[in-house]
Amino acid sequence: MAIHLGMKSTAALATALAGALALGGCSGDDDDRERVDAVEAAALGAVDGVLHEIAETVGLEFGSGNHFFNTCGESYAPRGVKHRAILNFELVTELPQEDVVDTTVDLLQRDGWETETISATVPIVIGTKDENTLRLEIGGLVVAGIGSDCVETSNDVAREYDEVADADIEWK
Amino acid sequence: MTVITIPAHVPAFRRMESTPARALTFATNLRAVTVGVKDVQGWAEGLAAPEWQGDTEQAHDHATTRFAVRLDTVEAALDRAVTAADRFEARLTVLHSLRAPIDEERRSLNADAATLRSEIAAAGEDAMDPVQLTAFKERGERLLARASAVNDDIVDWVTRYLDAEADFIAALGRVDTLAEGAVAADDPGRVDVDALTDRFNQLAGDPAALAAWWGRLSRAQRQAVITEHPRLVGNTGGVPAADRDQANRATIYSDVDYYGQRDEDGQLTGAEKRAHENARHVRDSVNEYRSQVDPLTGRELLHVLVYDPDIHSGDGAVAISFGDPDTADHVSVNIPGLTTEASSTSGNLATTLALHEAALDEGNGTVASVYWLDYDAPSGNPLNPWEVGDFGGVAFVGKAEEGGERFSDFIDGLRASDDGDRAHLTAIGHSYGSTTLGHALEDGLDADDAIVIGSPGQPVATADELTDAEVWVGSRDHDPVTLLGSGERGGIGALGHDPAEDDFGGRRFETGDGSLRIEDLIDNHTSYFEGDSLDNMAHIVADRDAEVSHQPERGDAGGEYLTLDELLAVSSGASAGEFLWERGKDGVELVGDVGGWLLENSRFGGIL
Repeated sequence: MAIHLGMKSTAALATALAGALALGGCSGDDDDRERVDAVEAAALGAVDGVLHEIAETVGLEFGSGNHFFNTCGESYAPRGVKHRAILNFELVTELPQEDVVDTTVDLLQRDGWETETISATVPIVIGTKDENTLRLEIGGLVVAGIGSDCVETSNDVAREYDEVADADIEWK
Repeated sequence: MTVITIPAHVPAFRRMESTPARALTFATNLRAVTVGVKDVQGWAEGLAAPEWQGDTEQAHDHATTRFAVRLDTVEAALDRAVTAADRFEARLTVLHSLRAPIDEERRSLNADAATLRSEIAAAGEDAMDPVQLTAFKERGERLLARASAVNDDIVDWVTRYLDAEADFIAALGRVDTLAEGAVAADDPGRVDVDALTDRFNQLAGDPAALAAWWGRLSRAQRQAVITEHPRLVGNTGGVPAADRDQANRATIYSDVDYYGQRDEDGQLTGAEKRAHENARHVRDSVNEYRSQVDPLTGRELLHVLVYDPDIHSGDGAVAISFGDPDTADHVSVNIPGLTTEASSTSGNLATTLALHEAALDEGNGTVASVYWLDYDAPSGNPLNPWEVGDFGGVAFVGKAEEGGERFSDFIDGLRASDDGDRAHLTAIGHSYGSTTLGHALEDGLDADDAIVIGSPGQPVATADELTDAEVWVGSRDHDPVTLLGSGERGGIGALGHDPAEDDFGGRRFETGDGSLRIEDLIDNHTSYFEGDSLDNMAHIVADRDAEVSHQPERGDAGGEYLTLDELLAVSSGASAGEFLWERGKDGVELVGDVGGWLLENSRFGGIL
């Protein structure tokens, strides 16, 4: 069933919004890239910093990790960029689970993260710092995710980052 | 003298060098090879002789027959290897799940023993009174019993682990020569895959019957059907999610290899080129989450439940779950909206993961979160005036109706393969996907909760007419798409009724209204998987309805809103105002004139 009534309206809506997005996309692409890169650097800095400290203190052995970018919105309006790093570890420790959680929380707080602990199927520790949220699910394996809020960018910049292939994380 | 016995420190025990995730990768690669070999073998068997005659014809037949027979030998060997790999992965998954609680008990026991030791030392042997001594002794005895139990568990676990590795190595060793492959091929007990396929096809429209039949098959039978017909198994409702995942992963890798080879040879057709792109996009999207494992089972969290790279006008189909929907307590399935295709899987998985984690964080049981795109979502860029004709396709309800039927079938499949207690299932539709969901609900979709977000319309006027499920509505007043549905204050109504209206009878949850600037209006439509909106959806998915915060329905007290033409006019004015505000006081006066002019003109049809 074709609804002809809607065609004129959707066309007008589309034109108005396309114009609006064109207005919205005029900010500097270099500034956008700088902000996205800063969020990525902060996440990878957390991997090299507090995550290493947690691993050494509680006894986590690195398994694998990678990181990548996604757009925030839809393909027609990507809106911005989110960065995500995912790592997994084997728990190789003599600490009881409760101490693993407490120590993790303590180390995150000392590094300036606001924390929350959730008692779910496995304990979950969530830390928030600036644009990044670090999430640790602590079972026999420990899964760490560092995800950013949406960094608003022009659509071109968002698509540019979306095309970047995901990369392995080197654990040094 | 009374002796207090405390157990010795229980040392760490064997770690898993072989992990479920690595076994899955190995098995996936092996299946992809097997699928490729079976494709070639099928081709060789059906190879007709060219129009040759006499000796040449006989020579051709002889050669192709020998080729097909040799491939059959390889196929028989690979079937056994795949079955062994599947069994190994399953055993490792169980062993991984068992290991964590044993190790936790070991660590806890050691800590408790250390505490007792220090308390005894602090009390001092000479100063200890009889009551304290008895208490220490009893604690020591309890610790000894725990130590005995945990040591038994460790011995049992290590034995099972070593057995699993040894069995796997032995199984592979039995099919690592051509002669052994020939023995496997001639085995009278070899799986009759044709008979199984016939039965599979007979049951394919009845997910419950298929699930029951599939559950009675041996591992070797299941694996033979998976590698013979991975596309069929991967996309058929009633097959367990783990098996669909195996089949689809094998197809993805086989497709990427096949199309890649044809691409190198310069033989790709236009349709194949799109299928190749879709296959690569899905493979890359799945790979992005390779490190995201289940902390309990050690298995990759992703399950590929649907994969077809060349369906739906070339857009492709895909459904991917974070977590296993067959075993989860709570399952959500979300349908995306217009312009979505297999190549946009990556971004949609990110939003699905956001909901998955938020629902897990509710702490109310296990969760699986499915992204489902197996319908022909309208194409074209709605923001490109030159593609408005395609966007007009949104005004056709046909794709939503067809999509709704496919979605119902998918959910019936999930219900049939559900293992254990019936899962609490929430269906979610965004934008045009909400209309698709509406049609599925109208046809009797088997969901407990339904969430429509950014909806341009529902097929019927009330939630009661739509479904027995609880209907939740996320609708920002400054999301223009939500103003398309018909309601008391107008609305185009091309796709149906506005579910945010009070009369509709849904439960509207808090999403906020979104920014009024015209350049943000589409952002208001594309950001429901964030902030309060995401939190509320997580409450619903995890069945914690009492936590959901309410936003007044449109037309109810506090639910005043702008119509679409008013919104466009006012938001244009607001953006112009902001622009001018930055440029001084004169700009503020001008914005009122601009906004007023736009509002008046739009009211009288100047814009819409």
